[in-house]
Amino acid sequence: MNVRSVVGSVSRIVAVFGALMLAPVAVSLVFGESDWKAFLISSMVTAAIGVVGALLAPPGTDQRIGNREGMAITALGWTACALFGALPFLLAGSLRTPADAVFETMSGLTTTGATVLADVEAQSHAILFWRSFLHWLGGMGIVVLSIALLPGLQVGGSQLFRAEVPGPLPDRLEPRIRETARRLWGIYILLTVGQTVLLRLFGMSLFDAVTHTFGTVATGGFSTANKSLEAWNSPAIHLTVTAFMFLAGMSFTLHYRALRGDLQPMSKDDELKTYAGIVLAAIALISLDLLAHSSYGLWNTLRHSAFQVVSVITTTGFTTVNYDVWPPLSRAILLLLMFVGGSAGSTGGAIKVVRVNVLAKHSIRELKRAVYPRRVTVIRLNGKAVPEEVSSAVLAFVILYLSVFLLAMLAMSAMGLDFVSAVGAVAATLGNIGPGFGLVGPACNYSAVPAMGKWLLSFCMLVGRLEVYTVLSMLVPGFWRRP
Amino acid sequence: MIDRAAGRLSEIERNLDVMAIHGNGASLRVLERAGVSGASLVIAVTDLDEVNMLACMLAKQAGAHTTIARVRDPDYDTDLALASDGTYAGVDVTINPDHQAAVDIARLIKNPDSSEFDYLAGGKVQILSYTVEPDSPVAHTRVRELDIATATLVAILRNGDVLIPRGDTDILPGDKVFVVGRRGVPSVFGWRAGREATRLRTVSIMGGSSIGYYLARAVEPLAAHGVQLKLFEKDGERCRTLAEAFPRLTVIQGDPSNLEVLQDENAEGSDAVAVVGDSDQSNLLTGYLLKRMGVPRVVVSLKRTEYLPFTGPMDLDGTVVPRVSAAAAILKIIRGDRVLSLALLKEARAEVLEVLASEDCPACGIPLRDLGVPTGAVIGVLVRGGHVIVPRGDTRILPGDHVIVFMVESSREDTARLFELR
Repeated sequence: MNVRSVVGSVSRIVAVFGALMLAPVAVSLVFGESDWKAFLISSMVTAAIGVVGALLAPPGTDQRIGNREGMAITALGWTACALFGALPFLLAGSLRTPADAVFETMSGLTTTGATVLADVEAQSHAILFWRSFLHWLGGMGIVVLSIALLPGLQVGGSQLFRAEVPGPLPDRLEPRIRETARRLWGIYILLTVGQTVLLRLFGMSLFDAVTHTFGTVATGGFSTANKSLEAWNSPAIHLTVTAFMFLAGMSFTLHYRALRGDLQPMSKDDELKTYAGIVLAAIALISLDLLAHSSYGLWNTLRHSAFQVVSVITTTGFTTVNYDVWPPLSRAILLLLMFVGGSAGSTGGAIKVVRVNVLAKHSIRELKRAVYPRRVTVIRLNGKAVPEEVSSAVLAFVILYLSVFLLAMLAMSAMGLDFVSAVGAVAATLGNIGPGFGLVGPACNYSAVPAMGKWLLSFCMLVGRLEVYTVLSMLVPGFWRRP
Repeated sequence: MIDRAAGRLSEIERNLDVMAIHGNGASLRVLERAGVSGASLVIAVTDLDEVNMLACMLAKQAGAHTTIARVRDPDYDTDLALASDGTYAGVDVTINPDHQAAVDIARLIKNPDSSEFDYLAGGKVQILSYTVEPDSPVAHTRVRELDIATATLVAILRNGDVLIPRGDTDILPGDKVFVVGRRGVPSVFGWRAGREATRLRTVSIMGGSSIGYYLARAVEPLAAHGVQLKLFEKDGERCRTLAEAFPRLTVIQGDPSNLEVLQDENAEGSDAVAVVGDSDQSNLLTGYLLKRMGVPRVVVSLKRTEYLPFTGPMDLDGTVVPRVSAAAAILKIIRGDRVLSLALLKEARAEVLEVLASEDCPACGIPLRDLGVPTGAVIGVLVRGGHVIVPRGDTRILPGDHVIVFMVESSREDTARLFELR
């Protein structure tokens, strides 16, 4: 393990993060609020520690960033940002305990959107902006941002990139990793500007439009209203958010190719077809269920079921209704969608559509193999053969993901949560969705969870955002030793 | 002859009338030592495709007239198909024995009644061979009594001997007859009691090495017509490669010579099977086994021609020898510009040539009965102005005609003189 380059890289990420904390200072000053001092102090402390760390561990002769260094930098960088990002909440006094503040920050950075704030509307603009801004930074990834901005991270950048960007087979858009990082951020900013303009047109205030856009394109889910998007009873706003959540749940590689005029990959992509198929099927089933058991009327049924389905599968977590009071079938479908998640290379979390795809094909093949043991068949995605190592890695990923889920659920039950709440809380944090079921459903929040539970759920969010391997491999005994 | 193995070279120099040069064939100095600048033909057939292509390119630059390279890698093969004039610069002709053999096998599979099958004259003329069954209508008839207007019977293979048919030759059951004629030759020879023309539903390939790969590629379009394609291969890695390359192919990992594998995977239910493994002996046995199991049509590939006589008694429906398939391509060039196409009939050890009759060709203008066609040669058909003519005794060859000539090896020099060939 190259400790120097790990410390140096993490310090530089922290320094960038400290500088970004100046954004809420500006918001605070614009709205004439008094908590700009809290953000300024936090920013100074964070940036100072980052700069000192970077100076103590300058890029030496051995700059090698291997696989393990990449995972360590990513996991530690995220943890550090979650800790420093919690400072403003404590200093401004909106949250009292470290457990709450770190939970809220981690929830923001990992684009989960689970909150411990009982009354969001009582918070200052700066605090609300900071929450949504954390989403926006974490959506594309603070490490990818650092690669795009900082010169020192190019060597071994692809290791970092792989540790942070979701999906089993990351695509390079450009031969150089730094260019790829910049292109990804370019698309991200384009989506952000587009949605902000639309929401503003449909009647949201600029502040609400920006914060909700951050929450949408990052598939985060923090709102500025206690009742989330239910507070805006506007079909146009709901449809816009639904559409942009869907876009944010698609692979950014496809967006990039489409923007360059090449629509071929988008029309032929297996993952996109599966993603759209799951979304449409889930909307249809939930709509039928709601029509039979509820009294929304046809139009509102379609609007709400589409919004909730897209919000959950993309792991955003905005709501337009309290889905916890929906009939059992609809809630069960939403729970399943929490595990599916968005596409690989999107800002969405959870298992990812492409893995579900490979898993299904793998299972069908094994079933056939039981009948014809000698047949050799190849799993294909987009017409290309998927190497055996990749499909077994997918299998291992799903098993690890479910194992983490089960263990965390057991722990939450041990802390006294009822079954539905424990399942909902862990599924919603591990999958980076936000609101779960029961005690942590859309109408409630996570403030009732005991402090120990908040730490555990914060860990689940990190594990989910960094796709299990990056965090869990650090627990392997050989990880820190020299090979 | 240039080779790197000195021991082999001295053996070759003892046995053949060639000059042997020790060295690397892709080296310009070695090529020049062999006098490549004045060579009319350079053939590069080492095991390495790249060496062959490089040798040809160098030889061409040094002034060789024609170059031939053996290229076997499917990657280069695909490149060649995309190249503007079908070949690389400096390499006039590429030969790929396994690919050629696979094409021949695919043709045999798709044409269920013939054991040798080839097209000449741009597909207008067909060469076919049939075995005469005891209950065939042509059994025990004289050649002159045959009622075929669109084809010529050019040879009969009886007990391993080639007979040139005359009017009074009897056709006996068990004879193998060779027919040259217009495309869609009357099926009077091909008639077999109790055997209806089978529609292909399942085609199996035994063996996934190079020929198996090319064969899978050649027959894969059949899958679009609802034909099931199976390929049996022992090696797991190779199976995976094939399964990746051909999505419509059912790849089965198992030894094709293992009876249990064949039964488990219902190999006997195939309508046609091509046995293209690496070992001649096991190909023959597997082919025989499948035939016994009731597969209507079994085609076998063999590396050596010595085993060809056994394929008849074993009741195999067709054989392909990659070397012979490739040799046809080389011979065509050696025979010169006037030979437009060439097919080899390996069992009869004979060639069928498509020859362009020149302005001053000695055979022109004389009625065929007075021409004195050498024994062992037969004028099959003429192609004049796009029409296929079945010649009679009074037919004359005119300049510009494409003449389809059958000839056995012994009559080659006389025939060549007749048409001014090399």
